[in-house]
Amino acid sequence: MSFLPADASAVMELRDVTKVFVAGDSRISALDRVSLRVERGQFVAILGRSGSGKSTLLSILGCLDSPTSGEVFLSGIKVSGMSESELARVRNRRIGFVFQNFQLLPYYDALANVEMPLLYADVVDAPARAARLLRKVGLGDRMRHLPSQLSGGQRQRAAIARALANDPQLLLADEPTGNLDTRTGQEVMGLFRELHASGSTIVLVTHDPQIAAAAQRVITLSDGAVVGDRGALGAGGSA
Amino acid sequence: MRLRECARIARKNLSANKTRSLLSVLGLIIGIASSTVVAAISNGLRLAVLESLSSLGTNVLTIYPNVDPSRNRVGVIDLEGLARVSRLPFVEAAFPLLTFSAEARGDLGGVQVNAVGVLPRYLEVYRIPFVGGRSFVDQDVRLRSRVCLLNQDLARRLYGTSDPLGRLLRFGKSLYTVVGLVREPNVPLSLGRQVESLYIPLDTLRRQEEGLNTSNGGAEVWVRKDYAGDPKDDILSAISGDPSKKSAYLIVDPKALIDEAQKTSRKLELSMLALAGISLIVGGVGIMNVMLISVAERTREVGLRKAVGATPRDILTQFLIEVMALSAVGGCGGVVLGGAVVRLAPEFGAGDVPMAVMPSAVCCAVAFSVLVGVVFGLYPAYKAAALSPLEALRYD
Ligand SMILES: Nc1ncnc2c1ncn2[C@@H]1O[C@H](COP(=O)(O)OP(=O)(O)OP(=O)(O)O)[C@@H](O)[C@H]1O
Ligand SMILES: [Mg+2]
Repeated sequence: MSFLPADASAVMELRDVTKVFVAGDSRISALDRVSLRVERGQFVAILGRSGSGKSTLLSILGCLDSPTSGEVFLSGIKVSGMSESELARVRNRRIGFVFQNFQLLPYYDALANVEMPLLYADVVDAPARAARLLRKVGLGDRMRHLPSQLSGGQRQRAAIARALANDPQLLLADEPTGNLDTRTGQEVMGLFRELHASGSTIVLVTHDPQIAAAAQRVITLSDGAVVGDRGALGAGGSA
Repeated sequence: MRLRECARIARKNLSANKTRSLLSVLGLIIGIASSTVVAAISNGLRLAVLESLSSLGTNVLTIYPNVDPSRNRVGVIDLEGLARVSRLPFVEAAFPLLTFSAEARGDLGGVQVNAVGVLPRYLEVYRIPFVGGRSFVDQDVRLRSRVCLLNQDLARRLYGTSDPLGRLLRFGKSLYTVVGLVREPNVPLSLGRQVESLYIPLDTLRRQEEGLNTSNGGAEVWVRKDYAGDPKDDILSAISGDPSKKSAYLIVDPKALIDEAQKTSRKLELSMLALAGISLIVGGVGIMNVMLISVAERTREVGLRKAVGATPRDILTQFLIEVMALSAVGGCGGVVLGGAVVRLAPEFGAGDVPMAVMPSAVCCAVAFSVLVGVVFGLYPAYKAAALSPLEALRYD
């Protein structure tokens, strides 16, 4: 791992990141020389049309995928080139990921789902911590419910509790309201705003400008390139 | 991640798919069960042989005359030669084997039986259990008393419920006094010796039934148990009186017979174990198949676990523990099934196959089935560990 004399307030930094997918004979450039910094405490929305590369960008930010070229830094530490198990550790301790389709394990109850990242981190009081997180997202009375026994909004809140489990430096969400109706979506967005207000750094992908409006900074993608970055210099809320 | 958590995940998944888990280990159960039965049979045989060997108080050798090439017929035992054998320092006794078949008559009628001429210590050497009365004493031999020992069953047929001790028994041309009752020895293998039901002192029988001295053709030599060397050559020289005529006789050593029998059963045992081994491989392939299905079915779960921080090693451990638990259950099930077969076999007419389950074999069977599980589970587990989290999450 190399340490750069980078600004400590930059939670995540991409430098010239390109991602090319090869499908058959065609090469699809999902990201084209993207450079950006996410400062500590920021609430960033990534906006763009379908196929513009939002999910690809978020996967790279979340260390779920590696760029074809370019460099990724997390708190000044170079992530690109890490081994699978080092990446797993980074995902476990430093990043929380919220998916559009929740990705809860169907035969685990809410508590066990939230516990999972804690167990991979060898946290001793995992059940107590998971319970605290579920109460924090308003599911204190649903801990023993299976995902199938929860409403969509409740499922997404359980998934957010899981993403927060190891107190990550960066919370990533890919269309977290995409599978929810407008009202429930607004509730979930309210939860994100609360988390931001209490100091979390959040990057949220959406194709809905109205949802992006909740963020203080909006990055617009088109065909894999950053075409707009409104409020880039704004420092994080109450952090 | 701690092993306890892996075990918890494994238990959760196995109990969520009970039927499939059971089916996947069925092959293994059958393989382990058959191995257990094979091991029980070979162990039972070994114990039976050991027991019959130790049931002889003395090392008993049998001498048979060889075919005499000059006269082209079976020769006879030279009684003088046998007397020379009995004087060898390591020989306890040497005497011709005399059996005589005739009708024995008691109160209730007559039965055709084989009488055997014996020395006083015969019952002790062959561990024939005494039920009542007395055994033969030296005086019986010296005086050639007409006394006999009766098998309990024969006594019942000849005298019914009345006490046969002291009664007269007609056998062949002579009358004998019944002095004792014996029971059949409960030795599994009689080492080729027939169990007879009427015992008469050797010299008495010899005198009463003139001319049958060598009718059986063979002779028995009792070698002292503490004699470590190979007595055969000395015995052959002594009985033939002339080293060049040694080939006139043949010596059968029960120990050699047992060794031979054990070699044969070893071979049989090996081929049975090979068959059991094949069924274990089949069982292992069954496990691998189900593990591959399980990994494919749980691709998204693996992707999610990796996304929230599971390392490839965590995933590998999780699936290996799962397959180990599965195959350990299969191994235990196989041992239980095999034990049940061993226990129930006598009731289905396999009573004469000696079987004994060895505790060490049980432990081996369970350990081996876990090994089979790990070997065949390694590839599916490795496949799961190597999944890319992003692609696994997209899988449906
Ligand atoms: N695994 C892949 N293999 C090949 N091409 C891919 C792969 N993943 C993404 N792409 C391509 O990369 C481009 C960007 O995809 P991406 O999923 O990042 O878009 P998106 O902005 O998230 O779209 P949406 O709003 O529909 O989710 C698309 O053209 C897509 O077809
Ligand atoms: Mg997307």
